[in-house]
Amino acid sequence: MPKNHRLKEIIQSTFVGLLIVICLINNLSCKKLLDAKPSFDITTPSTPQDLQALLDNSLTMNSRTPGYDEASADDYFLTPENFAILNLRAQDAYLWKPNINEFANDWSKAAEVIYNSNICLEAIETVDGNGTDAAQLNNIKGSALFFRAMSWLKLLWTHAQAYNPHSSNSNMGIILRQGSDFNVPSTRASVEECYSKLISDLNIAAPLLPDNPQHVLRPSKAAAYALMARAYLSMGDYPNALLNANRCLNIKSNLIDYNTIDIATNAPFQSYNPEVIFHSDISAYSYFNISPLYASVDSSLYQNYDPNDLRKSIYFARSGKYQLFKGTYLSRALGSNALFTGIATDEVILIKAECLARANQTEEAMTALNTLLKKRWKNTVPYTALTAADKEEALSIILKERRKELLFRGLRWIDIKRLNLAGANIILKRKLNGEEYTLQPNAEKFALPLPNDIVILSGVAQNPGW
Amino acid sequence: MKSTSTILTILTIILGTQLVFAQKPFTAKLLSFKDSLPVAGANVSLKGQSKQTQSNAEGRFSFVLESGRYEIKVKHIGYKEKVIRFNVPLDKELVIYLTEEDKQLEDINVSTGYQKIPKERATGAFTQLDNASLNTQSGTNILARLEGITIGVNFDTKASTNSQRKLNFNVRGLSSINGPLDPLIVLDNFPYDGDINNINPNDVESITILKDAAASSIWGARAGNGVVVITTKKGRLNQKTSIEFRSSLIISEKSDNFKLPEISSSDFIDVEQLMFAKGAFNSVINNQPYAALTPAVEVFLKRRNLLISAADSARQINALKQTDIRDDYSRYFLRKPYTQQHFVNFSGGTQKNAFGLSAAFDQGRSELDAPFDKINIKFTNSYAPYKNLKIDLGIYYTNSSNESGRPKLNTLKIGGKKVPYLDLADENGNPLEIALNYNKRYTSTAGNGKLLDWSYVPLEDYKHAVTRFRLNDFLGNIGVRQTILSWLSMEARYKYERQQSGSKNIQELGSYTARNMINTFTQISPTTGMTSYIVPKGGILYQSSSVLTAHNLRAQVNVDKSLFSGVLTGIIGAEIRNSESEGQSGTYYGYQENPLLLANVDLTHAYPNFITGGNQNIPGGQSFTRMENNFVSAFTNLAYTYQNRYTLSASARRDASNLFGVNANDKWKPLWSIGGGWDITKEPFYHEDWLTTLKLRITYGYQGNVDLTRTAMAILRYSDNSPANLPQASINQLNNPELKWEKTGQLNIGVDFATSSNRISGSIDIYSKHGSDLYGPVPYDYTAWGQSDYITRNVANMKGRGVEIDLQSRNIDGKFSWQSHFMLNYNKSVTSNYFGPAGYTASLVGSGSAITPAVGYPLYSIASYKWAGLDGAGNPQGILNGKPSIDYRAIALDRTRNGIASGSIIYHGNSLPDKTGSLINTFSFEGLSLSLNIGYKFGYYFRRPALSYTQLFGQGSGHSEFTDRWQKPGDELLTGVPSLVYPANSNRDSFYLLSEATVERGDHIRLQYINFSYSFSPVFLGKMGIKKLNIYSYASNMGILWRENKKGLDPEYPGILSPPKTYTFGLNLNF
Repeated sequence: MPKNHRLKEIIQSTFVGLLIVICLINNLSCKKLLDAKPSFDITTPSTPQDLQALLDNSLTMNSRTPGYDEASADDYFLTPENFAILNLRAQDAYLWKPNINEFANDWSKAAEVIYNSNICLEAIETVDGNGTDAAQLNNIKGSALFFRAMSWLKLLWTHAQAYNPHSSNSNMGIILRQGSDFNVPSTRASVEECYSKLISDLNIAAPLLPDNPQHVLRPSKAAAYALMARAYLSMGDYPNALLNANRCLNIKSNLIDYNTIDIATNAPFQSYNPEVIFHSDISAYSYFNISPLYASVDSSLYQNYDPNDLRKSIYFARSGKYQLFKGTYLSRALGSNALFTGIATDEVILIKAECLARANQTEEAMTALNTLLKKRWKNTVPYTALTAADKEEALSIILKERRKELLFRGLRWIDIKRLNLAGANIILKRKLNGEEYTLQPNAEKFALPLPNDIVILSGVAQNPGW
Repeated sequence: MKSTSTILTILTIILGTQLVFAQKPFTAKLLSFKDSLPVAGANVSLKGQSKQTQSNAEGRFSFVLESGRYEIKVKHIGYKEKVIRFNVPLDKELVIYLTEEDKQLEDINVSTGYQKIPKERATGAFTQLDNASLNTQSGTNILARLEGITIGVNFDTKASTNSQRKLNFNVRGLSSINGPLDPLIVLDNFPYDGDINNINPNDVESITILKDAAASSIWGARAGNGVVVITTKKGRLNQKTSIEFRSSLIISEKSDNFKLPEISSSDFIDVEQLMFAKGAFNSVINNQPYAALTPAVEVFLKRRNLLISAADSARQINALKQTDIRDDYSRYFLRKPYTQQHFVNFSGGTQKNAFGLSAAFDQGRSELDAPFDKINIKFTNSYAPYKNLKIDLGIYYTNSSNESGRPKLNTLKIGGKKVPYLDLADENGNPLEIALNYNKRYTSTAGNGKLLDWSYVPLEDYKHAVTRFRLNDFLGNIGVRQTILSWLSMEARYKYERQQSGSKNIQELGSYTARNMINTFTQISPTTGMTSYIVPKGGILYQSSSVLTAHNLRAQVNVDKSLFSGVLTGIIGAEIRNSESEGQSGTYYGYQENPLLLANVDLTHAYPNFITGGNQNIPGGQSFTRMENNFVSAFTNLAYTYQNRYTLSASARRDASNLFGVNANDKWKPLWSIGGGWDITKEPFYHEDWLTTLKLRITYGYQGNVDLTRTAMAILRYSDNSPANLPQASINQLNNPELKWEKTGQLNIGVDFATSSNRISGSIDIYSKHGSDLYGPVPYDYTAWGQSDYITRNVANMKGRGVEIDLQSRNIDGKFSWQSHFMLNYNKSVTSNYFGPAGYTASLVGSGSAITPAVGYPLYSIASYKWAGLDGAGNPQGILNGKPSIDYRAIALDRTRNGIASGSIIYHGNSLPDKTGSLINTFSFEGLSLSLNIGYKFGYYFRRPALSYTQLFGQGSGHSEFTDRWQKPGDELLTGVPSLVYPANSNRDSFYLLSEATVERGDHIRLQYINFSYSFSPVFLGKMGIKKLNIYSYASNMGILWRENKKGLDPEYPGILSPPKTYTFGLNLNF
């Protein structure tokens, strides 16, 4: 081989080799590789489908209702044995004692719903909506607003004083986080700000949502009106509560005839049944007190049911000396003791009845109530419609029926608070191992304490009295 | 390094009788002991005379000598110097075997996975283990053989729960707080992501550990935890075909579950009786009449319902108290496990071609009678068609399978509760049922005989429920190297890997799982009594499979040029790596294997649960996953050695990957190192004959650590459909735009030394490490996002320093020889900076297994609640505000508020040993060799398990110290075990579990292994055409020789069983 030919070959092959190396080093050629998604089932929330899927995550969005308020309320009591089995957090809640209540807790469960909603509300502004119809985008925005408002309302009922128009501007409300950035410090808004924000959000949400949802795990127009009715009722704004209850009932007013329900079974109701407007539940308890496994039904409450009232046998099962609650609107799998906390037509009818009574429309109020109770009455015994002579009597009957119909739905605590504010004088009592604990009407302690670690980490004020 | 050939003593063979001849040429032949090949070019000198010669290509040399007695000295690089005495004349040619020199500091190339660097020119800290060292221990996992014989590597039995840690060892301590903790494994030039158990230890030629920055920074962003380079056996050019055969049998003892500190049956039943009397089971009895109760509670219940007499009750309870589940379990469930390994390897080479072909078969049965087997086939070929071109080919195939065996002890529970007194078989060995979920009262009548049998019989059930795992792994690689100039070559390498694995869990109709599922969904019409099956009557198949494929491509230019009285070596190159994994899993009902049958089920609708009546969906469905990781890297490593004395090295590497959510610009992370070496013995002024090796090394550089699970954006993940049958997703990582990668800087100063004839040799390395931008969890205001109360950010810095001393000595050399190998690792790593609230340091009070980011404290350390003994009522007392206290909540609160500054806390120290190492003594005589490895770990504490009434009442797990609990006033002087209180006070229990009373010193010395082997004499073997025959036995896990704690606990396995003693017998044969 001639020498210069060999040299040429060497130079050529060196050149080609270096070219390959340079080409590899140059990351331009690698851009495609580097931009590949590490996993095809993960993504940043960027498409309407992603956002909808986030809101359809029912375990996070629908099954994490806080239960601190219910655990502090009076529809149930604990036997000393069951009290002993429970953890400290549950024991303290039962006796209205302060607790460290550190993560994980109800607070964090609610925060997750709010975060997911905020992510959606942020992303919906920039999302590429090409090829997506407006109804889908509207549903996402409306749903996010609804979920956030529902969580806020629950926290407000739990951690703030009942709405009092005279002090709502100075009473401490909750933290209204409206973005996903964790660097923004937390502050507590006033009770007034909280209610007006969540109601204005619901007013935006309602027109964006479909009348009836694809599934009751999703928010709907009916649900948004019902939630507004709930919120107004808890504020004592009865005309607005009535207005929204009616708006809801115009869309959906189905009732189950309890005569069709199997009395004997342990789980009489199905999830997503015809009465359910929006489904939510407590499936992971922070407070096991209220799990039907441990909670015994308040005996005087149980005595209030007429023997011909089907609820007496459908709602309750005997457990030892006492009754346990089995009437929740859920299909229960083995080992599950979840509680329904969503919105159903029976609740909205009761809101309507109460507001009518308060508006002095006694007869209409009693008609609304009878519509409901008739469906709860044994069909072998003629139903006698309830009547009331005046507003006070009507109200007294309706409130009693409200308690009998809506127990273990996470509604009792705020009812006690708003009714006591109006002078109902409901005194809460617990008896345990010979000791009695009481909570006086309108006590500071009705605004339940924030978790200790949140107070330390965020620097927000703790509720007084704790 | 020790090798079996070097532990053999000198063999001199003089054959024939002495005859008198004058001035006859005396001839001798030099052969290598290892392979009986001629040794050419050896220096031979005659003592007392000036005569010198060299052996020729056939290994022969000769002198012309008069009759008489002589002594010659034979020297050759790579072989031990040898002195032979003999008488002239000889009637036959003298054959002299030379044993190979320890490969300690001579002529060794260390492999970085990119290049081979001559050890004398390396500046970095490497540890190399050759085949012989790796074979001093047995077992199927190659990395496990590093334990006890490798300087700079620490094994830790406790850390297996961390998802960032699949291998249970670290190189030079920990460099990361919350990032990946495993060293990078490199197999034949490329990173290896497959299962480490795929690699057959017999196929491994050597392992190199890259410890400091200069050694490992060539691996860039993945080198932060050290790099382990595994090189497999290959054929060599110009080598006669040789055959290697290895076979071994490993057997172990059965686990002795009686060594577990469990509460006695009698005590347990007494506790159940107390709980029953207090009404603890009433809620379950009343609300869940179907729920399983323990046998004793069933008896109490029968008595309460007046179904049996008081005497019957007492008799039945007494019988239960005599029962221990471990008796039946040991007798009927456990067997002595064994493993067999066979291996055969052919290798050889001509001038142009070298090949290696090996096959291995491993097979065995576990303690639970679970069978496993594995086949490895390996082929390598190196082809050099022209002088300047070399083509390497390699194929490695693994096929392994294993099956599940009998159930584990801790799965035999009643209603989710541990029970120590179950009978698993009657006196005649007939299997008995246990109430796994439901009680017999319920299952025997439920459905009026229309349901499938609902009983669970542990000794029968596993026969109908089997899980089979299969794995196929194929590795193929090709490399082309073209030498362009004498000093310049180019190479390109490509590796392909495909690992396919699958598991099938078959629950036959006879299994409890299948029967339970079918019964749960069975509907019996109340009117007609007709039975309908929502879940078809048949087996259930849970199947999953995954495929991992990886492509690696590398192009590299190599330089090796003499330049200005020195040598410049270096590489520059780039590589691309792509790995993809795909998986799927699914559940199938109505399954039957033969003939194959499946049935459709309706997963979308809810059906009533037979027991509760509540509606539920049939579990199942299918899921798919796919992951893709891409890396692009460019690298260089250059070293210049001047006059064989001074070496300067430098390396740099940039990595990029498709790290999700980060801009491409931020993906590049350059890492570099520099180093220097000085071989003092090569200096003209150096004349110390006794110290033949003395080399100084100093390096500095950076290694990176990447965690692909961290991102700067919120990450959404889709999961199975919701109950509404809609796609659903969740965000499982909070957005943090400020995320960076971890970085570790390391300074290493080392010295290598050896006295003449390597009588004492070794190395000492001192290093310091500083990690910055380490990932760490920080508490934050979780009002923003409730999924976690911590977020992981770059929050911490750490500092570590360490010393590694590696000493080898030849205490006695000769026919009988004694060698020692001493290793000491000292490592101390502390957190130097951490940004988090003060109370966070409270997590120091724990078991020491979580990393504690308290500034100034070791990364792994342990603290406790102060302990003030028991009070007069048997309550454990802590210290609150300087006084003894039983206000456990207040003590706990003080701890969470003030962290390590709390007056209620006492700090102990490290929870990982800071001084570890071993001493290996090897004695040999003729072909016999005995090796003992004594390992030690010093300077740490551990938390022992103890009694918790909460766990005892709730989960049924009780500690044997229950017997020693406080029972009557005065006991507080004798015991520290708290009195029984019902209901349990969980704060009181957790106080005791985390108090000073349950912390022990971990320091201990253990006998790691004993290895006994015999090598047959090559002369004897030579007659049979065998080059080498070695038989050996090996015993490991031989137990603790000394421990600091007085409770007889094994600090490596507190509260769990230590691995049983294991014995290996084997033979190695070379033709």
